[in-house]
Amino acid sequence: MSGLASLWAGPAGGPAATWGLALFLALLGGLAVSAAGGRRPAPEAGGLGARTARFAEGAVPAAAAGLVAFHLLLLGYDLAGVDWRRRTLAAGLAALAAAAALAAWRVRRAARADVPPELEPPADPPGWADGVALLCLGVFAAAASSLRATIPDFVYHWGLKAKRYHLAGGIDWAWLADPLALTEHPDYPSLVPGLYAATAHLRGYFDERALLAWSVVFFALCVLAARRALAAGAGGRAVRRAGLALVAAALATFGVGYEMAGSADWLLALAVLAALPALLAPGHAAEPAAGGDPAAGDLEVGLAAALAAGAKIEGVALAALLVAARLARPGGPAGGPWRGRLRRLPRLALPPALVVGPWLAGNLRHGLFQPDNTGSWDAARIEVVARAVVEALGTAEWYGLPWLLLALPALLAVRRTRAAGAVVALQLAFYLGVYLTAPVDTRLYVLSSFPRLLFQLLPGLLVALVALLAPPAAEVVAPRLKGSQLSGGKAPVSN
Amino acid sequence: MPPLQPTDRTGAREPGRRGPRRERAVLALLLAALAWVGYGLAVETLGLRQALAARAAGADPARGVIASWQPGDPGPRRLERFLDVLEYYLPDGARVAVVAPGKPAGEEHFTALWAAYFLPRQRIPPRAGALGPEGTDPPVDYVISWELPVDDPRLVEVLRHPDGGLYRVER
Repeated sequence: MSGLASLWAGPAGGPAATWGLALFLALLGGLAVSAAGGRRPAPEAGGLGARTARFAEGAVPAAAAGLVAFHLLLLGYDLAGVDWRRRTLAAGLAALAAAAALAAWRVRRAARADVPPELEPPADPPGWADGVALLCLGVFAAAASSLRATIPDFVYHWGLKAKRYHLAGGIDWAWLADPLALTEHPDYPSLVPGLYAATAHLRGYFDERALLAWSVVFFALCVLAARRALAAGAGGRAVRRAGLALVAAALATFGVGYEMAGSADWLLALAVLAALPALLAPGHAAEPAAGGDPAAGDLEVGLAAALAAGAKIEGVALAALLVAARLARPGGPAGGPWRGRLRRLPRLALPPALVVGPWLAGNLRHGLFQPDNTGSWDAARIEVVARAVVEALGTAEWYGLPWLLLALPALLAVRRTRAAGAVVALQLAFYLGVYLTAPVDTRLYVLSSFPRLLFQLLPGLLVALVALLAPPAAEVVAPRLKGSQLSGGKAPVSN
Repeated sequence: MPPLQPTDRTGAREPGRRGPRRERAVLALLLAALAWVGYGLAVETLGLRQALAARAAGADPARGVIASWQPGDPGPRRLERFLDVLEYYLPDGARVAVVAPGKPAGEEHFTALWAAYFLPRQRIPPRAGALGPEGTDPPVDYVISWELPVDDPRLVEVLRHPDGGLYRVER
């Protein structure tokens, strides 16, 4: 026992605590997603490897749901005046898990025998790319644990906020609004500092290694989300594996080289990747045309949007784009395209709305929005921004990958990848719009932020490009359609 | 109900010669990109290893540039130890300016940011020049000077330390 205690107290104890909390949140989220889906779980197809892979891929929406639920719990405590302490957090988590388990059990019990469970084609069994991804994850985990790959913003912003929230036992609004205190983004959403502060409470003290381990968790989720998105949108197992290995290597290379441990940008990259299966899939089970349940895809995109909106201020824009892109996809329940889309709106928009609402209200109440977030249009900035953007695209730690943005028109030209391409293109346009209007040193602003902002989009762009270059050649229209779904669905899109 | 039996995850593949050839080309492209990015990962990992080796040997991987400090580096560890001593004299919520005499404004700014991280109980304006110009009433209660002492008639020395000093603003 004393050996275990010393292990827990040592450097490995911090990441272990984080992974423990992450697994608990994924379990909690998995139960919640299962309950919200209202369907019996699918009988697993394929061998042990494929079943394991399917289970691991399912961790993406589950973890997203768990993280969003935990964030909402923290916001709820803040609103109710309940301190964030180890005891209150443990009680809240236990209550959430019990509620999710009860809801999932009731849904399972009520599932009608004549409604077939959601079937999906078997997952790719683990292969060499998963080994490469594990290696990349290990390299990044070691780098994060050494503290020498920590993003400066962890000290200046995320970690500092987390320390204040840890001391205050909640969001320290007075400190955020104090002109003598924080100057770095007091108006940003609180998912990341809240998660860090809560981890510090559960760990017992402010352990930097434990907090930086969240980036390793997000790395793992990004890889699983990319695996899932490639499975949904790209043809050819060998291509999918090479694509997955490339995404993992790109994440690790930039993560180590540009020192991304502790950054909130991981969550935005994860949000894009997690939404891709529903945005890319030509005949994915989430599309009614393929006989699946559109609500499942909607919920996944809604959770991804909520993650983005809770992580960073630009994530609110990304959340809106993800919801709009999903809503623009063909398909929906019976009742015509617009009525169908309106009916889907709650599942899609409710999770991000629950996150954005309290953030917006808190910011307005305490006057936190910064005057230098945006300004007036200045044409003189165009040349400065253009030069700086080109310079940032050549950031050494990216090894040329940002130039893949030049392929965006190709994504937009093909119907199947248009939604994903539009999300990336419009989010990019949002960044450029801010650069062109923000009343700050424009060149410095672009050079210090654009390489990181690319990190939010490039993993998703890579996956979308693989899906573009290696499309699934034919669609399976599953022979398990329900009549109501058939009537509302369009023919599968294949371009 | 007939079983769903796709040949792969996304659906059955239509027969045709163009498909496999295209797939092989895409695979080659992806493997080439993977080799290139893998080389990049090796380069970055080597750079990190060298920085860690330098740190383990007691050298400063940031080469004295405060903007390049990372948690665990000798520079921030020295600052943290210094601030740990000063914290005893600083009430919670005190307004504290951090100055770095002889250093450029940028370095002073980053010193203040690190100090704010190490002293979360105090209110530290994380920017250079927070003390205000001489002859004006400083908008703070205390001043921390990093490395060199500060000479300002508005300040009374509270503590002198090899890594700097702590001063109280006299009103």
